[in-house]
Amino acid sequence: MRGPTGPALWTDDYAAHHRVHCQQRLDSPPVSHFSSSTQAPSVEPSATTPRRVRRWLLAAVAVIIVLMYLVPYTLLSDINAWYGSFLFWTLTTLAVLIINAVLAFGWED
Amino acid sequence: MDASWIWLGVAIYVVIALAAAVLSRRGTSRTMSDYFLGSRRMGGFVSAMSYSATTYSAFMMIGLAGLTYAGGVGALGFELLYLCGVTLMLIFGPRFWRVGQAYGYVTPTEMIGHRYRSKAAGATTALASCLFLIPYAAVQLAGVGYLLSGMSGGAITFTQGTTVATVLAIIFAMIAGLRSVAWTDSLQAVVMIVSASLVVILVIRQLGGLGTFFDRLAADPGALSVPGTGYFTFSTFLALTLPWIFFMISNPQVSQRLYTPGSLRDLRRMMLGFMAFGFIYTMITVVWGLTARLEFQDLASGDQATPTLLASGLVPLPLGIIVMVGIMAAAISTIDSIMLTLSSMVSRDVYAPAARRLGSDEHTSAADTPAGHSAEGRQLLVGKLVIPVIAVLAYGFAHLQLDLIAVLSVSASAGLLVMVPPIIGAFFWKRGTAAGVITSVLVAGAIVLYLEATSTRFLGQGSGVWGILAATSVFILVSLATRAPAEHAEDFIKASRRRRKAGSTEPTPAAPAIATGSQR
Repeated sequence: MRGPTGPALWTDDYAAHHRVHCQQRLDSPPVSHFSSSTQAPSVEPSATTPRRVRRWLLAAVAVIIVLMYLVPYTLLSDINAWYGSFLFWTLTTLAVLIINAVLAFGWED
Repeated sequence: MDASWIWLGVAIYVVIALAAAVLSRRGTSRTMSDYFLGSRRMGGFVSAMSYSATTYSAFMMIGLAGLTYAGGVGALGFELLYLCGVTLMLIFGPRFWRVGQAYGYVTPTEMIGHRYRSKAAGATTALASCLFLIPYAAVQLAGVGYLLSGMSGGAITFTQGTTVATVLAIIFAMIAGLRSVAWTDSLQAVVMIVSASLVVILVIRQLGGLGTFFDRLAADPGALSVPGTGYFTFSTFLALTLPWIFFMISNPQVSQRLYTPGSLRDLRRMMLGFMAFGFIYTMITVVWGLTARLEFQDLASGDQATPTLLASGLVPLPLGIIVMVGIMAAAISTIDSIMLTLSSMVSRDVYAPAARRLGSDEHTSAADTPAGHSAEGRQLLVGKLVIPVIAVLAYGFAHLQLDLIAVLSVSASAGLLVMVPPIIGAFFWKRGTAAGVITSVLVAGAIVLYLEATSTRFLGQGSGVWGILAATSVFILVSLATRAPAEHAEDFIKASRRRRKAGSTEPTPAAPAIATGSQR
């Protein structure tokens, strides 16, 4: 079976094992063990989601998460109805999940 | 509900799960990677369902429902924040996966040991994980105990319930390792979400529809707001959510799954499937818990909410049994994941280095050599032997019945928080050192343990808050004071990043190590 299955080491033996192993992978074409898509050269970030956009989206997630702590305990703390914290948390989570889905499609294939 | 119906449900589950486990075997596993990671070939859908089943355990339908019963909508915020933690999977998922491919890691603590060039760091984090995961496994067993005893009105005792769960967990884990766990997981996840959705829709309809449901809740002070009647104070909310947000990288039974997909596409499918499953399942569970809050005001403990509601007249018998079986399956799949991960860590990161040091496993190069085979085979055997030991320890802890399942789960995860700084540092900070890892885990781990054992809320904050603060500061300070494995760190971090277009000036990850022979 191809691929790294031996025990990992932290001694000099490891370096030798790693060199041989990695050299094999660099030398020979991929076996079906790994999906061929991982061996192709990666797509430049700009072809999928530009780096700046990625950074802004991640920052947006951080902001949303902070709001998920603050808003229910301040603005919504007196609203005992479905359109209070219940709705707020539901919608903010959906926003975070959608952003995550978008960014995940930016991984190289 | 008559106990014989419950036993029938258990029997049906056992037959189906055993069949799935046996069918998923493909010969005997000879390697650690095959047994614990399904040979890194798990497809997207199975991975997604298995990942979901691992993270969403009995905790949900018993624990989260119980927390909702006790505290209202705050529980929704708590669990949705957990789901938002999937952002960490977005950031760390590909990185874990790439280094797993490059260096052949089987466990996350092995990754730590290798990254920081220290067996001791790997062993320390492995043992800390064991310490804090055994209570987490125990609450799963307790969940089954509450479920079966609650639904049968006490005819099945808590002890009988936990015993059944323990035995089944051991059997399924031993049959085929991760692959059997993954297939039974997938089955369980599908059954769980379908049956839970059905039962909630049914109950809401019987109560008069969503409109009536929310109207009644609006009349219940604190059901739909925080801090409501006072259960979910801000500091409680913070204490509960902090360990939950980092769950996906702090809990090794979950982060280990990041090594299993066959490709980044499969990893993405795993993540997307998990997000969809998690969102639906969370909403269903919280609505379920709120229903119990409306219908049964005087339960002794929140953890009684689900068993009581399932056994009540609101739920038709067959559906109640199916949901019960689904919850059992959820608990057992989570326990299995924990046991597999812990056993892989003990054998790989504690036993193997010790055995090498004692000279009993001398040849440790490629697994193709006969000597390599027997060393790997021995690791695997030790791994398998550890499984029942962990199960028995968890069983013992379960019987302490210390607190609400949800609260105990979070306490266990608070301890695991102390490993977050070394993990983040592994990928983003070259200055991290083994000494930093070891001291931060020991110091912060001890603090969390002390706070939990004495039920202390220092300055009104939960143990997780202090755990992560202590871990971060100790890790940074000690690392700055000691020498970092700079070149090795550089290689590791490069290996974790996406590959650049061919022809760019930046070298590919493995090249420097080979060309200059500098890998040490």
